[in-house]
Amino acid sequence: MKSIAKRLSDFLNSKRGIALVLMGPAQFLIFFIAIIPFILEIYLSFTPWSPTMGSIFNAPINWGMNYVKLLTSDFRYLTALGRTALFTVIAVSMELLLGIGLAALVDKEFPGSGIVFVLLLIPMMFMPVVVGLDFYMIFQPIGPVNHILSIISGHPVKIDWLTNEFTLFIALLITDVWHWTPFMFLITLCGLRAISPNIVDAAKTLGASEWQIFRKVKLPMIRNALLIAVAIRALESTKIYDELIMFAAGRTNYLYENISIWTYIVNCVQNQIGYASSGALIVLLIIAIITFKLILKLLTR
Amino acid sequence: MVMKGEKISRRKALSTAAKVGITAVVAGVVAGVGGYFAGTTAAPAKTIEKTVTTTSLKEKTVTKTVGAATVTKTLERTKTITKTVTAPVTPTPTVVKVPGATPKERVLNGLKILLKEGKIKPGTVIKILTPPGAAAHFDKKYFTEFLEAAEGKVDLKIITSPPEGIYPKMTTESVEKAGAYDVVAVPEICLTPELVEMGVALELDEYIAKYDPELYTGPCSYPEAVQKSAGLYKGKTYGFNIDYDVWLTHYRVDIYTDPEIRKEFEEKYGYPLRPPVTWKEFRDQCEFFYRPDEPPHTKLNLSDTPGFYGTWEYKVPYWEIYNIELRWWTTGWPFFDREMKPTIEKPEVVKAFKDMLEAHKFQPKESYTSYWDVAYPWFIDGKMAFYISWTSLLKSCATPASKVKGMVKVDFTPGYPIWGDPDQVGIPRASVRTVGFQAASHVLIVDRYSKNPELAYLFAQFFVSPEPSTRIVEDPAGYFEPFRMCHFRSKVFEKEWGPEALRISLDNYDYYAPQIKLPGRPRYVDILDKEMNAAIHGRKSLESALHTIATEWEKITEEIGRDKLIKLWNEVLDTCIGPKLKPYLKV
Repeated sequence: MKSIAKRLSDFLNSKRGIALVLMGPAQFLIFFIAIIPFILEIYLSFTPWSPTMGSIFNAPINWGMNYVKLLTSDFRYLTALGRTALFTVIAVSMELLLGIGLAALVDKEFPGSGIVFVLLLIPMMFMPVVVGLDFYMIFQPIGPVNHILSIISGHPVKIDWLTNEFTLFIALLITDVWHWTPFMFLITLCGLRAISPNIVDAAKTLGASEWQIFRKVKLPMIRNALLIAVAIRALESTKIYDELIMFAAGRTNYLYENISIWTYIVNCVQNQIGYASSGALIVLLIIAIITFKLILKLLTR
Repeated sequence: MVMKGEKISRRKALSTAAKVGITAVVAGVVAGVGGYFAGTTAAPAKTIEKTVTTTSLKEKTVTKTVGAATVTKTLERTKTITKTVTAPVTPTPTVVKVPGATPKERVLNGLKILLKEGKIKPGTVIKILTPPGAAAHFDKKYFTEFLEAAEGKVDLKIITSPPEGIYPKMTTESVEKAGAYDVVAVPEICLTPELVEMGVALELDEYIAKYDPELYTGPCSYPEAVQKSAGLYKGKTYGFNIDYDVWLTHYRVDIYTDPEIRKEFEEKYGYPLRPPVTWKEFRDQCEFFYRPDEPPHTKLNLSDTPGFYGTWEYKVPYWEIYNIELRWWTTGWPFFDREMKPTIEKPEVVKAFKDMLEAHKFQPKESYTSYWDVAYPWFIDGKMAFYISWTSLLKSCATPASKVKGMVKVDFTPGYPIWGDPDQVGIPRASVRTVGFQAASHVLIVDRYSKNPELAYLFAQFFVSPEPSTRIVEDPAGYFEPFRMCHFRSKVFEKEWGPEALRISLDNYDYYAPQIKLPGRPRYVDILDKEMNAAIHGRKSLESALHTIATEWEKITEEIGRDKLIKLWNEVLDTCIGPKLKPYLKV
């Protein structure tokens, strides 16, 4: 009969043993920092739990009633979902177009292109909360935006940007586009600079114009990079929060309640943690489906 | 480890990894759940098993005649019955009062006792969670006697968090039960029910009986309704009020005594100008003083920028709630009737909010996006005639940079007439339903999971003891305002506020009205805030917003339990209302 030491040694030298030793610790860590909270969140999403109920296991299981309520009768939640989707689509599209445009311009060397490159990247170095505070001041009724518009129009402009849902949406869009276009610009520029000059030269030799080269040659070649950039930005845009809080003078922004604000209110203000978990998991599911489709598209090309 | 030329396929590696993961999940869940239950399963009700031995003696006297002699013999039978009785233990309140002439002395003596009993170990730290603005009040300089009495074994650690961050931190504490804090300055006294229901606020009655902080007795007692509003829940005490925060109307004396302005006002409105006593007067003055184009450096506008206004009511989320609640109380209707039915659609309340929106038309545009962060500087700069605010404004008005130094007085906030037409003007103050509305305030609680609860309590009692607390609230670096009666006799406040303001502040307690103090408060307030914000900013009609609030409040009440809430709300109505307001409420 083999000794225990020998058996252990054999196991550790086996394929399974190696895999266990290499991957076990990481799996164990991930389990505690990600899997347990996630399982708990799923569990909570099937309860109406709030800390005032005591232990999480005191809460009765309501068999998905949170989900039913959220998707059928909670118009506050559905509106927040709609706002988030609309903002994400418009903001990311604008950032993508501007990013590509700027990258195409800076792709060519010109005097001072290095400085322009650095300047274009600066906005994305700021923390969202700082950007939020800056734009909160910029969009005040007596702030610089109205001042500039007054000079241009020749009439005093006194738009209350942050007190009307539509103008706040525009202000938020401008803020996000200013903040994150550099990210799109950076990814696009990296993609453009990775294209072999031979391919571009070949296209030129065949008589393609600059525009044709950009549209028919360069853009398809950086498509995958752009898809990844869009995916990352789309994920981030759904989470926009700091700017909205700053736009409401550091308080809950009821005027433009997106999914992040909704989750904050229900989770941290109302303390309805079970219900908020259900809402958050629906968003996770939607994002997972979209991202999965996007990745599938990338992999199957 | 040598692989001996073996290669692991990716599929197999992933499969092994998945198995490891699943095993870990299952093991973790089992361990976690098991551990959780091990930690939280409620201990069975304490019982005492007692063996009772009953010995029954039976005596029998037998008289027997043996021949001529009569023999009397006593026979004794003993029967012993042993029964094991399990009886619930009722804790006997064997509170030994700690000696000492004052609450502070009793704290210091209590520390000595704890030291003697070895309950304070060297290196003990009292962790204080507080909003940053109040951190100065917890400076060690105020606690030297306390720390010395602890013979250097105790230190203080201040942990600051923005006011809105305290509640989520307490939520976390309720789940983690980590004892992350010892005492907490909670910036919303009406959150006490939530904190108790969450299980993070320690019940203090036993310690109060032992150390007697003189809450309602002695020369420096608390205003009863205020302390009860902050600390009392289900008949038990969970915290100490540590901040006045009752609103008053601050007004510019130079404007209200100026003959020209007075004449102009009277000609326009037909009654004399005075700090607004009724909401109609409030509205008229908002209109009268609404001068966005008023140049700088005039009799009215003392600032360097154009524009002068009557006043500023909050219209941004969270802060707007205070103005809404103040107006609501002045109708005579509390937020709910005694059956927990919302009163928000009562005609008087609807009118109150209509009046509020009407008055908003004559207030600065900036008030739609900013709150006291701008309103305070504006008032101090001389851009407003009056301003309903916390009395900390008086501190700010007394600073050297203030343009209204020595020109500000206070009065009670406006209200509706108790009888007759709600739009009356010029009537005496006594005919108006005055409300001393407490906007926010702070309550000092002891974390139930504190590792040194008694020491933490002693610290809290030291903080609120008459003599130390007077010095603490006088600190200009912090924003707490007087909260015990003797604070209003402080020379510092007398100089800063003036004797008249102190008297009015003190009298204001008699009209005290709390905020919504119920479990579920954050949910009630969130709906109120969201819907009223929509009405204030014109995104929704007022009627529709009020109806939504009433409907949603009913749902919340049903969810939490109407019967439970009825009992609790009645406790609020019976114990937390100022004596001079109570007779004029409609419930």
